[in-house]
Amino acid sequence: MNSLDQTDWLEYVGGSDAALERIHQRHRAALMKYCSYVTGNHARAQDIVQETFLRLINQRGTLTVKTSLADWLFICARNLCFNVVKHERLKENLVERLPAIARVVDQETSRFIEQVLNRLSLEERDLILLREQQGYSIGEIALLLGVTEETVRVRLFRARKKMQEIGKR
Amino acid sequence: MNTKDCEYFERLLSSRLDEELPNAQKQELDNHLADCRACREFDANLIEQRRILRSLPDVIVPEGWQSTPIKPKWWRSRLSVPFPVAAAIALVAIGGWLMALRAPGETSVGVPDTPIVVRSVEIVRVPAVQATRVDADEMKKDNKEEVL
Repeated sequence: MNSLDQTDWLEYVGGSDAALERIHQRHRAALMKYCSYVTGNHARAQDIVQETFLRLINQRGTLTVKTSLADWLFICARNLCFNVVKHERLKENLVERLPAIARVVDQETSRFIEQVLNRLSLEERDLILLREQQGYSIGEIALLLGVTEETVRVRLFRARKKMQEIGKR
Repeated sequence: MNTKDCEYFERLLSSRLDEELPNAQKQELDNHLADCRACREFDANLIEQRRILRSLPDVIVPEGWQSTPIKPKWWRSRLSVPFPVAAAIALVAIGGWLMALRAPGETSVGVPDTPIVVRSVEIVRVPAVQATRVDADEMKKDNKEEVL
């Protein structure tokens, strides 16, 4: 956990609303990006990030500082993403949502999202985004998902291989 | 090089991308890459995919949403009742309401439809009952007579 997170985490659990505002400012963009690419729906991503922070507020009394703040937020947002996608059966094409999601999209990126990222399963896309977009290590992903590091390695390899096979078509 | 061998080296390439490849296997992988064009392509594609994924554009966050300080809505922060409990409470409430709505003639107590009007009230004085001590011998005598 970085020192800013550690300090704000302690202050927030101690009852500081200013710390909550700083946590929100620091983490919302990363959460928004992750949720948007996982769900492929900008409006849902926005709701999920709001809900994540709402849960942070409602659970203030039961939070422990032992948990990493960033991890807590990501696990919460990730679970909400999976609930939304599975329950609402979102089938929106990522590429159709691109103008709303992305600031600037070059043709290469657009093609990659449309033809590769969009064709991965929810679990595969989630894993790839956690590793490549959010920069989590294999060990950190294993902790987040509650699986072994070897399982993460195998799943990551399969997702990467699938991306290559899709890209060749 | 056959496909089965390449699958093994593709796994090593994936591990190398995550900086988790043991030193012992690095030389083995380099030797294979020198001979296998397909695995060199696989490696190049892995790196290219990573480059694109890491440069995926940020999402647009609405201005108003960005600066909104998040405060819980009072009903959400105070009433966090699970759905089954809420459903049970609702059922009990509806049941009570339906009981109250039952027609008066159907009530089990049999309350008459017409109201009872009390026209006058008469106060009756009741004489006080005097407590008397009864002798125990007299009681026995009376009992004997009843038996005979």
